[in-house]
Amino acid sequence: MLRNKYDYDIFILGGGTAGTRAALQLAAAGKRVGLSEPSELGGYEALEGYGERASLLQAADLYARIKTATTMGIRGGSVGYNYPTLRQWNGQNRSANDSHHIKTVLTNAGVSLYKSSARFISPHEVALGRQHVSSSHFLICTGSTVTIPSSVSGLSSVAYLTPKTAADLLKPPKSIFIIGGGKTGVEFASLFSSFGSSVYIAEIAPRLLPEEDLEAGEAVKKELTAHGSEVLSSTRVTSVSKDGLLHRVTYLRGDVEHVVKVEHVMLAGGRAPNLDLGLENAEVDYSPLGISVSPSLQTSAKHIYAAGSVTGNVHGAEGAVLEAEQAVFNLLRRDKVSATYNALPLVIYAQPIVARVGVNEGEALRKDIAISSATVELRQTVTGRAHQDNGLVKLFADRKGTLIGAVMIGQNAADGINSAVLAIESGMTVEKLARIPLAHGSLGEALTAAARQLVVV
Amino acid sequence: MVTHVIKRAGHSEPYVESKLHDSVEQAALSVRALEGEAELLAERVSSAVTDWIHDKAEVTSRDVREIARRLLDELHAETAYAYDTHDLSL
Repeated sequence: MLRNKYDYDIFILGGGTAGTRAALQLAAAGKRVGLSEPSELGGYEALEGYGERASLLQAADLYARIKTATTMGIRGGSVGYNYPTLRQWNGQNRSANDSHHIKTVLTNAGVSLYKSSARFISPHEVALGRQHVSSSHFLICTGSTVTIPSSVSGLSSVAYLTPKTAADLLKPPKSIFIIGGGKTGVEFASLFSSFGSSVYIAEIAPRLLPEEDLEAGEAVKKELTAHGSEVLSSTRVTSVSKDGLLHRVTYLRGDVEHVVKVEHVMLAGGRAPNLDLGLENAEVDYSPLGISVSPSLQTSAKHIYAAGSVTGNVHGAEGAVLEAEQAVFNLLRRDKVSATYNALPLVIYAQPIVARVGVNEGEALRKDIAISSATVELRQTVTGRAHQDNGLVKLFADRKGTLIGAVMIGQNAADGINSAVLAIESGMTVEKLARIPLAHGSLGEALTAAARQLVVV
Repeated sequence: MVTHVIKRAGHSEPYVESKLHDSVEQAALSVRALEGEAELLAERVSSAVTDWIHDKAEVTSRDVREIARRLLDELHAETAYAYDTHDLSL
């Protein structure tokens, strides 16, 4: 290959979690890298996801816990909060993760940034506004956006919230109707209900978090209901309209039509990949579900790779990181490896926190994998009782006794799941896991107990 | 901002809605659509493509065809076929 036949060695479309991560690594490997992003750098993780709300979630959790701390014997005056101060605090804490910081890091690494959207005009060329840029290889990381459900009429004429705009609210809404009871939906429902909003959350499936194990949806529902929220499962929202300063939401539940009036309506349903990139011009195959990629993340055009939620394989920041790492590896080397998703964690920052890795019950059923499972409730452990934690640890092993999945529910689930990620990634058996001494006074206690149960089975 | 269309030969020219309008209308007439129907179809497709194109600086002629055909597939399948195979049949 002629060294300078193209402007860049690798051009990356999209500066989200996957794009920025890949750009840094490719630049560090000495490649000439260009990256285009029409809006802000950082993507879902920094702008809409956990990164954006981390401190708010922490405050919400603390606030909720203080209010219930009387059972421990802690007494205090009335507890309240000041939302503008909280937002400011959240803003300060996320500065390390914000677009400006990412921009500096990328520029210092030698990545050329373009603040416009790129469209393929030929297999080796993209148009950025009027400018044409050519590259030997491409990496598509354009991610996904919230879809506007076509089954709900009237959405085009009302101002609804999305995960991006909901985090920017100046104060918690008096009342909010969240359409979609998946990860994003329950995260915002938990956040707002902790701050005293009256929350309605509607999900078409018979329970919240339909993709997770039964216990997860139940635990979140219990907590939400305790805060006075209305959990509407098996519910189909039919229309939204404006009613003075409020919104009127009509929904069907068990064939009965109900109407509620709320201050805000939020869409937290499905996300669709961003595919308006002139992919035909580069001979890249795709469907509405995403760009089709091989196990090594190559598209139908061999010099173009895709990673992150634009492929439709993965959702969330963890998946984006995994695929970005994989794509970088394959872009730099001849011996390509396939992406494996068996130890990919997922954390739902609701109350309680739900974390999971690998196979869960639903997935095992769908794929017809024979599994054995063991559940330990945190109430059974000393640490869990001390934390007043109603959560659980659940492990799944295959026939050979290898750990293939874990679900953790509780305050420390996000931290706890990492030990399961490492165990699964290294192909550990439950027998081995049961024998490793884990830190006392942590979730490890329940993890060991569950592993021991599986050994006996 | 005028959107430019990169043609197959490599040169680019400004996007003109009436050109797309005419080609869709011709395709519709070639499959014996009524004149008014052809006109309406062309109007809907070309205005939708113009909407889609307005925030883009440059697209290829293939993009324009692709978007137009996708719309035609939903609106009038026969015209979509005629529009798609236009180069081959003429």
